[in-house]
Amino acid sequence: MDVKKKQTLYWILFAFYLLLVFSPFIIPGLNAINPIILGTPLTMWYIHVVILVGCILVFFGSKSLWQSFDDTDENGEVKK
Amino acid sequence: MGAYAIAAIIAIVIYMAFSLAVGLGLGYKKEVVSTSRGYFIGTGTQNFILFFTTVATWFSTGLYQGVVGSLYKNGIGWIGISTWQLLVVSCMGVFGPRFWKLSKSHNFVTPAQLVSDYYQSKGFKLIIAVGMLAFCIPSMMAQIRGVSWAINAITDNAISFNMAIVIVAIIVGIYVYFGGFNSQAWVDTAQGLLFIVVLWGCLFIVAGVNGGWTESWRRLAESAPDVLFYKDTSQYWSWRRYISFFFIQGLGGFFAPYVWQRTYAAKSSRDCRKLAGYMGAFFCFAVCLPVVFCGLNMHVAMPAMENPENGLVTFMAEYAPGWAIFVSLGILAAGMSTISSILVTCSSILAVDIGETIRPDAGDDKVRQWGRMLVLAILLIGVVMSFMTIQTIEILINLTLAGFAQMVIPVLGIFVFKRMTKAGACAGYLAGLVVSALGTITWNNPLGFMGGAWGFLANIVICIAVSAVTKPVSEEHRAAFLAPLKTPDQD
Repeated sequence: MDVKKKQTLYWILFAFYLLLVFSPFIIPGLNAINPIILGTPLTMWYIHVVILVGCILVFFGSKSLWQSFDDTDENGEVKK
Repeated sequence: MGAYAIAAIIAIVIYMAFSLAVGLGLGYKKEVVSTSRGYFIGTGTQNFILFFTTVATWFSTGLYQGVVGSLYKNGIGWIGISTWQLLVVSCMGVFGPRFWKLSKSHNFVTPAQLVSDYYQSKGFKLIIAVGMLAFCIPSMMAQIRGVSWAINAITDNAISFNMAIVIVAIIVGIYVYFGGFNSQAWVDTAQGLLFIVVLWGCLFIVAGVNGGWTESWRRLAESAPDVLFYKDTSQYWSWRRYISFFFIQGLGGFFAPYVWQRTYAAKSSRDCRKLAGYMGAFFCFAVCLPVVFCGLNMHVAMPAMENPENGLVTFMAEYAPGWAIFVSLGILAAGMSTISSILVTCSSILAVDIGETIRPDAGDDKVRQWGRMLVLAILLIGVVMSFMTIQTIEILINLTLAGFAQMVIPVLGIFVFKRMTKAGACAGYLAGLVVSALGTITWNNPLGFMGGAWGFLANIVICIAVSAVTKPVSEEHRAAFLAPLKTPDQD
């Protein structure tokens, strides 16, 4: 996959993360206390699951989708 | 003076001495501060230090005071403090490696240098520099006041608010003046570790007072269920305010010059990318999770807190007085780390962006000397401003991240939208600042969206409109500027 497509893919996935972040405003069932898991209300554990998904996305991005530029010199030529 | 105040003073003295020892001992490297670049952004900071200086720079006294208060008052909707961190680190991971490479290749030290060099505009450089200073200095002043309040409160006025301001300024000034970025980064690391440990201590204490994790949530759902629900548009923290804050904090957080410069400080662009990848989880869980828990669950034991902005100190003073001293040290650490970062950044903006523009023939050593002198001058200004209560300053503090977020548009013109012109980027940036201010102060966040979001929209519209009728950056200059970012698969 070329660089531009990887960047686009990252931001598309980030947009999904954003949708999940705001889903409790859209889906009334997510703006509730029940079900409780490990003593934690739904609004609290749900958003932290979403945040965890976001963190995995960020980590995945750092490994596979984001660019670095250490292999080329200031003219863009591959370093010998 | 009681025994508690004496214990607090001893703790503060030990903390200050430790900060100086780290800053002037471990953090001071004569060869690093011998050049202006080294003084302002170091010469390749090791990953562990860079990681924690970024954490400590970004998270300030607001974490201990404003955010806790906002969670207490507005409820779970303020989980935004965690969710928007991933936008900050995403920007760091996408733009950071690019900024690093361009900084290395073109010898950029400040954000304004990078942007203005692309658009070939000294005028734009000065506008950006002035804009950034206008927000940085009041922010630094707010941190000085926050830290000084904490010292005054925990010592039971044995150290007055004004004396605390002077003490904080002297301590920060010493290690920043001598050691520049490197000293400040090492002290940040120690401060970052401290304030995170203190936050987790607060979580365990609040949970313990409430009967444990599960019992705390159960009692909260019973006594103050409202804080566990997201709010509709009839209330202050609706989705509109949240989403506009998300983008302002997320973008403004990375494009704040003192965070941006940390990408220049990395050892490689790969390290930039890697650190951003780890920072997401660290920001959200290691730093924000205890704040969120405490902000919400303090309701159980203290349901009618008068001043929730200082809720952590109040809670600990009531239920764990010994730990309240550590909370104050945590506030000191969070605040001083941000103060020192802003100080180095402001010094670089004045010395490089403004100084070198006025005196382009000034040698590197002269710029470095300016930088050192300006550290003291800026600190003096910050201290004097901290003694005052001026409405303009308060307004600028509120607009800080909205102001920084306006840099996104000119930066996108560099890497994505090559049709963007110098005039368009500049006009958009200025429009963004003006509309952000109007939206916040005069129009009072229209339709429930933050003024900064309207500013951002104005920035985009004006930039597009002006770019449509003006000449873009020449292909030759663009190619030369971006040459360091060319990769083999782009030939």
